[in-house]
Amino acid sequence: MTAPSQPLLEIAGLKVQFGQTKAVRGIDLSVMPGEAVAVLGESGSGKSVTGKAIMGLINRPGRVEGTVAFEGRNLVGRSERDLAAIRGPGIAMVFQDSLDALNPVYSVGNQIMEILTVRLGWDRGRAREEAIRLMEQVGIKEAETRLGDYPHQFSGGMRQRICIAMAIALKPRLLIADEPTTALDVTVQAGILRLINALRQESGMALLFVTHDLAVARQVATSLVVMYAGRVVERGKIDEIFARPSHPYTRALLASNPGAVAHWSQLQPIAGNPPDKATKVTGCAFAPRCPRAEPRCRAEAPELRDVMPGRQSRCHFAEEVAHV
Amino acid sequence: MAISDLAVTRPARSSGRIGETLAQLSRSPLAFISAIVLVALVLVAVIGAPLLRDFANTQNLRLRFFPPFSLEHGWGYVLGADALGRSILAQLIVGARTSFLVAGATVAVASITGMTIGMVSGYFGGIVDAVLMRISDIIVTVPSLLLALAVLFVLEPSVVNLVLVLAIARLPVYLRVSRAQTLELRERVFVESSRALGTSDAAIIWRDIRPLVVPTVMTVAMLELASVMLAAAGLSFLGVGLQRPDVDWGTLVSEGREYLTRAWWATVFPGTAILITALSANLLSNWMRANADPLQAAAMEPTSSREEAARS
Amino acid sequence: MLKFLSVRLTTSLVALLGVMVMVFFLARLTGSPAALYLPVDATDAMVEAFNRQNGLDQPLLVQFTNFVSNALRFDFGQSIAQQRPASVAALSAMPQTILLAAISMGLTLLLAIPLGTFAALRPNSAIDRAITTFSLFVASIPDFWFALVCVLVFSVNLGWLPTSGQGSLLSWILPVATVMLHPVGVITQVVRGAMLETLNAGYVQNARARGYSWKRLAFRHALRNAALPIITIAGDRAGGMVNGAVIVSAVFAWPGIGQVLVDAVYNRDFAVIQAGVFVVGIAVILLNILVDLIYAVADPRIRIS
Repeated sequence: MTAPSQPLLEIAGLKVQFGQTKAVRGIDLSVMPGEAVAVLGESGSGKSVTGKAIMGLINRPGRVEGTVAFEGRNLVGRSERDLAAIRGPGIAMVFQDSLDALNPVYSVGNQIMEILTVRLGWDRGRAREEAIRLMEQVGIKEAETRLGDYPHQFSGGMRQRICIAMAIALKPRLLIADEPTTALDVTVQAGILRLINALRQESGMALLFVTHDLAVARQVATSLVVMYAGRVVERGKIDEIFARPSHPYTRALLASNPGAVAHWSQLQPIAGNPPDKATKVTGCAFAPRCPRAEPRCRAEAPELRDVMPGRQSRCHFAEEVAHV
Repeated sequence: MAISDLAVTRPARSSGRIGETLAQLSRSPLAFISAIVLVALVLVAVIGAPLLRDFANTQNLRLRFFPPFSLEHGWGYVLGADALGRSILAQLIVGARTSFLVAGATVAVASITGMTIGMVSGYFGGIVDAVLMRISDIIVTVPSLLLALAVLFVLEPSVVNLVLVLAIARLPVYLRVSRAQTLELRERVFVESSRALGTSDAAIIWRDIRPLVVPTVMTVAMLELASVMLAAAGLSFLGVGLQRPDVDWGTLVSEGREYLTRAWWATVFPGTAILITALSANLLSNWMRANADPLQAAAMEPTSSREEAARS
Repeated sequence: MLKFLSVRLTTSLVALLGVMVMVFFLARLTGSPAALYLPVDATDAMVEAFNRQNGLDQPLLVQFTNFVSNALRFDFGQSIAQQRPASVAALSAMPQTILLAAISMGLTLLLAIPLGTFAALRPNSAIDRAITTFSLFVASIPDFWFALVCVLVFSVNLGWLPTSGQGSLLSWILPVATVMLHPVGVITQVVRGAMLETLNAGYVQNARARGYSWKRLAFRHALRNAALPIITIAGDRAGGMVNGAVIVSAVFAWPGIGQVLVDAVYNRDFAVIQAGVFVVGIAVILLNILVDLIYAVADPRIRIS
């Protein structure tokens, strides 16, 4: 067991590059045991790639640099065999597209049981009972009769529940959820988020929740990491960030989010587009879209620095932004 | 508005980039060599065959079964001589012309006909499309060699008949590829916009769809060149393809076979010529596909109507 | 599932009708079927008797109806060369050919699936390039020539294998290798292409995130999903193995439908040609139905829809 003071997951200087495309330009983040961290960013901000990189799922020609320390051991550059041992009981993952994430030619029961028979060496009878229990746990009714059904016979929300059942089957210490509710209706989405919270409370597993939706992040996470153009631009306790964002991008996100403003007329879309991933960014990556950018922002790249207790921001004027 | 401008812009044609393609080709040694081999073989067939026609048929009984790799009787007999003392090398060159002619003509007839039918069938759909696809299924059902064997049994063996039979047998390949692509293109915005502007169907097929179907069909045609050449040689080998005075590489293998144990060269060299040509064409077409889509370098089998039916 | 199968069955029946139309017109392409059926030295009286006996003096539609009803009873007339009905000559040769095709296709899949999979596991690596070049190479070898060279090397020079006929187990080696040649090349390429797609699919990446071995990912999760195109091409090539059977009979004097057809061509035995094309057409249609059933087994989305 790791001591409570030591992070379960600690990422430092993580970079992921596909040819000339820099998907992740160097990020640092940590997750404490049992902690729920949300990674927030627009599509293309590198947040999903980060999740895959932690699991060692970046295929060639993609290149990964930096360290991903899980329970104190670096995972970057480890053999597929070592990583396979950690995937499942150490770190498990839930993906965005539940139809694509389940194998269409095997029944869901078959796929859940496979985890138990292959990874734990259980016999089929015991695996079957556990599969039923897991399906009930994630809220699938008549689990026993639905065991033999195929993925295409379930609704999107039910499929995502099955994906979650498969992810928690080996009782992971960290669950990475990559936009698990994006493809779902709002009502279904709320059910999935409640399920994830309930499971986390029962088992005490840590959660790294990747999303583009501030409101969703707030429902599941206590800490927040905001990403922009492959970098972390702000991080801290989620409620504090909501109350007082210290990076213009976070502020803009809050202003553009329907769930975070009092009235729709206050909604403000963020003008412009994120920088091209192939180009080298000089200065602050957000400067071209930033309402309060100054010449210094374009010339000098800000560092991620402490701006108040438990809060970091990558902005030259973080203190001023926070006190507006 | 900028967005609507973007939507009706036709996808760029792939022609006019020959220089770029050649530059890419030179970076892949295997494909580059294949292209050079093919060009050289075609040149030899076009230029050499008319010049060597008489020499190829010159019988010299003193040179019966003259073994290869000897310059005793000059370069003409470097690959040896056959049972009638004819130069193998000269016959290979004359045979090359026929082999290329049959393969080229077959692919040209099959691809142009197949593409036209495929585009029309895919564009209009409906009952005509259904009937055409069933006919194509029937052609696919009967093994091509069997079809050719039966038809050429009834008809006289000649270059024209051979080309027609082979072209019919290969038609479904082009028909399916161009139909599938037309079905997809038909729904695209630039076709819809042409239709909204009142462009006639024929003009839409010719101006909007054809330029995008042609590159695909050409890639398939390159791949087919090898299999048609093999099929034609097989028919000549069986004695229903071509007969003298028309000589192709298959005929040479078939003739050499009778003296297989006495003069292996009369069989081995024509077969090697087929192998080298087919391999070059296959390597080149594989490179073409890889160049078009790096991930899917290999399979470009069009989805068959069966898979379509199964998935719907 | 039922809808799919009934559509496919209808297609098969249409195909069968098409094959019959083709065989029918084959005989009439030259104008006079009598010239095809009767020996070359037949007298005018014999031709007239033949025409009357076979109803060739009647309208084309009546002739076709008669032909169809005869064809459905497997009646294509007598073989000139063999003193028995043409359909018997064709049918009795089929088991040999089906056995050859079944063995060859089994071995082809055993070879092509692992080769294509290994190539797809490391796209553009040295292994992939070697396998792709190999598959293109075997697909480029003229099969009849390959058979001859094999006879020269293994039978004549080394004396390891028999040159012709069907006897011991050894006599199967060269025919099977000849028939397998092109399918191995083509199917390896199709397997590679299909596996490239499924190996990158979300469900394989998700399975990988559950810590499975590459063998399990490739052969249980990716391959099963790549099954449809592989089954399609395998069915296609299994039908095409009749082509290989013709070559094999011409080179190795191997008994089977190929032998019957090649002999019929040399003896100008048209009734047997007709019967042969018809029987092979039926066999390929049955094969297609089998492939449809395998489809349904392989993919639950077809089975349950």
